[in-house]
Amino acid sequence: MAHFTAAQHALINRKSKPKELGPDETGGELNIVPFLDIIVNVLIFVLASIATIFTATIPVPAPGRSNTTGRPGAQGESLNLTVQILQEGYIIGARGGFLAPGCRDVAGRGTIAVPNLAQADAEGRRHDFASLTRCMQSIRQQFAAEVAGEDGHNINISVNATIPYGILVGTIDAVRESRPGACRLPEESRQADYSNTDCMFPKATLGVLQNR
Amino acid sequence: MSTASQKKATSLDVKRETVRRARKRKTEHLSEDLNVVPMMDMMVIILVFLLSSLSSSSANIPQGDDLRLPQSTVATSPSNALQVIVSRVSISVNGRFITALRNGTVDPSQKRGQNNADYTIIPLADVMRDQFQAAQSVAQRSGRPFNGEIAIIADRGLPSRTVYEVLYTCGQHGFANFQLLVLKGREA
Repeated sequence: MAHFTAAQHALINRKSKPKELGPDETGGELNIVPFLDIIVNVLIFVLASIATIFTATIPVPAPGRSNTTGRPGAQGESLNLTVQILQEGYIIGARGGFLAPGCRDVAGRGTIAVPNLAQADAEGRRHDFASLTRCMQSIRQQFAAEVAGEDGHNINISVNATIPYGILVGTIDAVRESRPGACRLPEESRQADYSNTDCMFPKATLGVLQNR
Repeated sequence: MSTASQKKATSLDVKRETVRRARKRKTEHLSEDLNVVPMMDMMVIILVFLLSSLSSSSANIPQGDDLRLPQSTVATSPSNALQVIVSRVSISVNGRFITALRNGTVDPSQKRGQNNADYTIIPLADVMRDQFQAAQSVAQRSGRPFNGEIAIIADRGLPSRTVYEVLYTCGQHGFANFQLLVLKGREA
């Protein structure tokens, strides 16, 4: 092995040292660190905003006006289920009659089957969606023969004109299914599937009450 | 103390040693830095993709104090239907202003016969008539059937009557397949 003298060592060290660029020579390179910071921040904000705007749609046919009395008509052996949304709660009709609280017995006209909650929820709503869902489950058990028919998943929802739209959407949710995702609603590329037992009344026809 | 194996280095030895050390230092220098170029490529591609998918989304709705969507447990995806937006202060179709609302209700002067008992909103009816003709024309040219689909984007605090008037007016002009747009999220 060759023996380097002190002068040769110094020369080797000097020549092998990476050339340090002067301040005027570094200006040609892009400093990407601030750029990266911006990109990462924008990415986080975009992802965060996407998480808050997930939307969905509830398919409904064109609405009709409710009859003025709000009485459910008896049409042969069909269930002809109607839910009327009033300020005080829900009136529920099936097979030509009105249901009493608990949704088991028949009651007189205008009886509130599902009264409002004593206290409003976090969004200021007093309509009792959970009890309405239980009522719909009870109806499906009581009228099993009618529910098994062709119109077994139909429901007419009539609403008082002054009831907020959010209550109407909550009601459609409450009568549709007892477990989220139980009903597969019709979409552009998919057929509807209501065969699940937790899928109750997804085919809602909307109406508006004119005399309440 | 020189031996036979430690002969004096020639200028060629010095050059070889210089190149060897320079290569070694260069390798060490490179291993210290993170190579961020692939990461940058990836991030820019993700960002562009996200922004483009957001801008082309049918659910690109400007929510604010005047337009707060109701929440629902439904999971049906929104389609690219004609959008009717009913906020607390106005009705618009695909971003085009149609009429103003007062306290969430349509002024009777904007109704057919200037009668509050009627459901037809005249300025909306005029626009929907044009939209129906345009949609039918497109359907005929493209060979795809017109399905009468329309997305209703309404504020959750509006009186149901106002939403019904919009649905009724649209339904009278060929659009009878409504998609009520909601926010996913509320647990049953």
